[in-house]
Amino acid sequence: MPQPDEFKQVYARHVRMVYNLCLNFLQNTEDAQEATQDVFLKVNDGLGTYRGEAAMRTWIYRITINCCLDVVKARKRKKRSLFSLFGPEDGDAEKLSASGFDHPGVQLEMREATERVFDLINALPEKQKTALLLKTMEGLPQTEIAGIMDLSEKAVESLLSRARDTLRRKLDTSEG
Amino acid sequence: MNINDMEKDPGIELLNRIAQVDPPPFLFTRIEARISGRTGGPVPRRWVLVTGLSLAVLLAANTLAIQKRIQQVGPDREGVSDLASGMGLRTSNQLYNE
Repeated sequence: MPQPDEFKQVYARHVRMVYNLCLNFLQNTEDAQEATQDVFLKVNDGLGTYRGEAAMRTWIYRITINCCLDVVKARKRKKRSLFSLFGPEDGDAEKLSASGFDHPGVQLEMREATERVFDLINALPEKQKTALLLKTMEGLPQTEIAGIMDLSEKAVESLLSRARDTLRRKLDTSEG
Repeated sequence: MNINDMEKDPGIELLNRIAQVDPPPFLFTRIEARISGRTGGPVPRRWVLVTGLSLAVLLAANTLAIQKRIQQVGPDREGVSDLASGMGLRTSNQLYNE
């Protein structure tokens, strides 16, 4: 078990990073708070056995991404079960994805446009979305993204390239 | 393709304008409550292994003991024939006395 002071220090040093990544990944305050709690519970469990093989920041980034992906999967499951009850033809899919957007970092006048971009990002494959968010919003270098995602730098570059192309194409079609 | 050109994308540029947010102050209290609320945390893997092995050994010992006992004693036929003769019961499958 880690010392309470040790955990407190780790929390103080990383909470802003974890919370903001969760917000960017999930675009919902409540979900981000829940995911942040899950992340630090896992950090608390792992601190005792953490051997420092990866940098603490990289390790916490990994946990955060996994927790966010769990929330996304849970959302999809919930959506599927709702559809199986009422059927998707009512247009509930659009309503469900749109109603959840609640990002306090987005200015009010940019909300609609940002929400549209996030909708497109959410439709990307998991790995492309993760690489894109780590690059654009966290501003991480490709080497660090590769370390977090356990991929080669080339693979990260390819993921980013495909994500950007898809995003640009979809933005062009939605605007044109 | 140049990844550094990403910032020039209008969509990506929009994302760059998103401000960093401070986490709510109550978050740490909630996490502490969840940590202390858990019943002793996850069970250590060694405990699970030891318990599983003990149960397996116990089960194997029981099976062996029962098999040994059956081999030693054999099916209890004497007791059955004593009872049948005592009560005047027929022990053969013959229906008619010939």
